[in-house]
Amino acid sequence: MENETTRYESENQEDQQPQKDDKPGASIIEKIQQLGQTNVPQLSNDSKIHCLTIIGQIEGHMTLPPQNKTTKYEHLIPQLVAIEQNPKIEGLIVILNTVGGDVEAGLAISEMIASLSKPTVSIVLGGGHSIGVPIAVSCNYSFIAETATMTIHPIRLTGLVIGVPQTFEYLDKMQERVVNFVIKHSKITEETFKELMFAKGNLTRDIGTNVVGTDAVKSGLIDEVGGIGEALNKLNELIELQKDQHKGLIQ
Amino acid sequence: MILYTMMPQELIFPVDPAEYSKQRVVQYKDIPLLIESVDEQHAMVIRVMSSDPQHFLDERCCPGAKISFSSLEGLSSSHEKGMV
Repeated sequence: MENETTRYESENQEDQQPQKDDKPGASIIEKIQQLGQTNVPQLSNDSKIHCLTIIGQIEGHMTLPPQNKTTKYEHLIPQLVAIEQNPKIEGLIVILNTVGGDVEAGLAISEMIASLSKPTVSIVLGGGHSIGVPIAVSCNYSFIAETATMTIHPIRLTGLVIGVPQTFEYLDKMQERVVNFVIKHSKITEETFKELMFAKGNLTRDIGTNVVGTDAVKSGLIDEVGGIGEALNKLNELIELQKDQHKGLIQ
Repeated sequence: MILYTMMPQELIFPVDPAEYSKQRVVQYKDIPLLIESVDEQHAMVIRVMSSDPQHFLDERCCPGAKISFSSLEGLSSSHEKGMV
């Protein structure tokens, strides 16, 4: 069956090649690339560990211009549903390098990841700022690279503000949702988290704290400092643990 | 230039709506890709939207690769499907 599919694919490629060669605009470099192309060995069609990348800005209700690098919830949420449904997928690794973004979209992604029945491990590389924090802690186990940072700051609103007292109350409630999610899914206490959130003198033009690698682990926000190797090891460990539990249930 | 305002940048400097229609998500051999059209027949891969790490090893659709529209399934993007 696998042979058949690869044969089909290689035939497809051969079909495309003459088309491209006929085109007068095709440069020599393109031809070399075409001829020198090798097929990547197709080991198996399904990988048992899937990987979600949370990059750039987390997009909310407004589509950002195409030059922005964004994570769209309408892409991620169906992927999470597919990961939960597909029995061949055993675990999920979430890789974060985000500046934050829309609070509700970020919380939606966090809640979805937290409610997955499959083992999940997150790793913060570079930055997991503002709404990236709940996404990072939503996984079963979280890692942070030694040089990675996470900015914890109060919720801000950009745009028009109509009815100031109501808006303030709404923002306060929204902030409570984020704080509750983070303290529920990590080892940090509410006091420490709020202390970091309202600290003065750490950020320019803003209140909050920028926690780096080991500090994030010390405060209990993240479980361990590590890279991709440690993260995958932990994920495999969690997958084995879950398999054992299932076996126990059947017996 | 520093603008001291609460307004997000894209509200102050709106982007040409045509910019948005350049990029779209398509399925290429069951791999969701974010593409941008280069000419009438070809599109360039901007991003692989899949969560399967194996898909990222496929050289035919790595970011920067050119794919012809004829190889795309039914030429339909997920956005268009959503609108119907």
